[in-house]
Amino acid sequence: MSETSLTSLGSNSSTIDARWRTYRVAAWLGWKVESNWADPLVFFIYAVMRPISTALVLLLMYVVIAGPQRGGFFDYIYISNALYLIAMQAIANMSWTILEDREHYRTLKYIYTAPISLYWYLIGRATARMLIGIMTCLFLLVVGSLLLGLHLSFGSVQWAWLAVYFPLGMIVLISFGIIIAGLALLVPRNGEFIGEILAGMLLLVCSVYFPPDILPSVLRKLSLAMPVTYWLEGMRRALTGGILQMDNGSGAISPILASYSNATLAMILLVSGILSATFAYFFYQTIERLAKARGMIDKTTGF
Amino acid sequence: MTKVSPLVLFLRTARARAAPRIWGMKREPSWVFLEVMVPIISTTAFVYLYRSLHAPQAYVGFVILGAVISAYWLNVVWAMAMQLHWEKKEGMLQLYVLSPAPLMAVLVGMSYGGIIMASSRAIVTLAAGLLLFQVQLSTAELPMVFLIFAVTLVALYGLGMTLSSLFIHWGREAWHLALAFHEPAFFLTGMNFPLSKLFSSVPGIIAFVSALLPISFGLDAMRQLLLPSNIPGVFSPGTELLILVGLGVMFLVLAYVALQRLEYKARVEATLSLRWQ
Repeated sequence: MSETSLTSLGSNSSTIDARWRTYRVAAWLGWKVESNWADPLVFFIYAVMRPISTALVLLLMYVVIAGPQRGGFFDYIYISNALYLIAMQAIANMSWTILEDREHYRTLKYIYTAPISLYWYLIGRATARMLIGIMTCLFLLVVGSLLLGLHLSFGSVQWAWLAVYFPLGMIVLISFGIIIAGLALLVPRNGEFIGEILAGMLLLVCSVYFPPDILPSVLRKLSLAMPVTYWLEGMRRALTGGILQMDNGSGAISPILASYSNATLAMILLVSGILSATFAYFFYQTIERLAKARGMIDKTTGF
Repeated sequence: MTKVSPLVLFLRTARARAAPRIWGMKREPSWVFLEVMVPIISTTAFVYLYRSLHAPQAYVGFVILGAVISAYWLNVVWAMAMQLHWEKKEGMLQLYVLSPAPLMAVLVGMSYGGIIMASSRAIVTLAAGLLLFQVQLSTAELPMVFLIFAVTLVALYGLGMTLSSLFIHWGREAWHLALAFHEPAFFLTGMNFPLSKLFSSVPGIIAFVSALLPISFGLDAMRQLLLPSNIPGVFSPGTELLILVGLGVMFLVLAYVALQRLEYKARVEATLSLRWQ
């Protein structure tokens, strides 16, 4: 290839069109990597089997204590668990994208040498994972409302708030995913644990299975510092049509979160989204430079 | 060359295959630390779920014991079922087959090393659970608890050996299947809730599958003995022990037969040395 055409390729790669192309192809590649080992039916069963099992575990844990009726607390844990899948896919599993590309398929070095933006490539891969999470989440919500006693109906959904919370949450989640992917670039031997620890921490501090009110002071503060906590609360409200109440009618499940209005939740998410997206961008640029300097782009340690 | 009896060869092979698992823990202590941290974090989440439901304290004990036994289940899935698949990818499996070492001994060694690995995680999880959440366990029936625990491990690792043989034949599917075994097993074995609740809530076929997983009755029996008069078990601990013994024998025989057949099949299909498929 001549020097002129290389220069022109380099300049094209910085345009919006080139970034969009990278994003689109990466999302498609991500979908293929996740799903092409099986036919669609087997993949669907695989994709829903794990979350359905977790939902059934939660259902039995709830029923064994609260009895056969389904109150507000069941809605709380069931919906949170369904939404947690999206967060898991976007954040926790992003470290796997780096590990797979660098160490399992050993393609990261080729992606780096291609005239594309790795940043947009990662966003594309995150999108593919999130789409799988969203589909599974929807499936869980439908199964929950049809078969498991979840109180959810089209009529009660606050669509306007849903349209606000959902995209803001996606920006936060993808930004966190990029930060985690950056960390995975720098971690040589323990990369696989990043996702697992993060998934556990999200479960513990983001009010997924229980409200932040019952946590010890330090964990409660941590929970209230996490944007995902507010995203889950906003989504629960938008999907059920209001603040979820305790089964015995003693008030809101989380008095702390109930004290935030919808507008406040949206504002927190908006600010978090802007801050996390900005931070993720600059953090990733810095990490990438460090990774190159330390020879981590093609390092193989786990496979 | 010195002639070695088959038994000595078997034991030497098992010891040699167990060694990297046991000594590997010393070489990479950060993995041990992280493997302990991960279950403690998720266990804490389930403990808080029960607390927010105002469940009796015994349920916290249920979750802790479930987390302890889950260490062995995860080890069986990732370090037993998946292991021959990993070995094939690393090019080791063909060397095992070329050597005079019996493959069954390799699996036994992997199990022994795996039990040591998983025990480090299980002990720390138990200690952390007891200290952090003030769970009181009854020590009145400890010998029976240890017996049930030992038989559960034999049956569980027998299942792991059987799966290991099956996994030789899977490529990328093996990875996804191992992932797919996680949560369904947590549900089917009642890791975070009483098994009796599962057996009274699900169709017979699901209860049957649950009964085939050694963790189910092993955990149920140990819970009855360590947290007595709290939540009814499916059967008495004695009956569950007998079922576990049966499962142990069945899985060990199955593992032996499956290994012979699948190794032969892999030779015929020339897949023993196929690293990327």
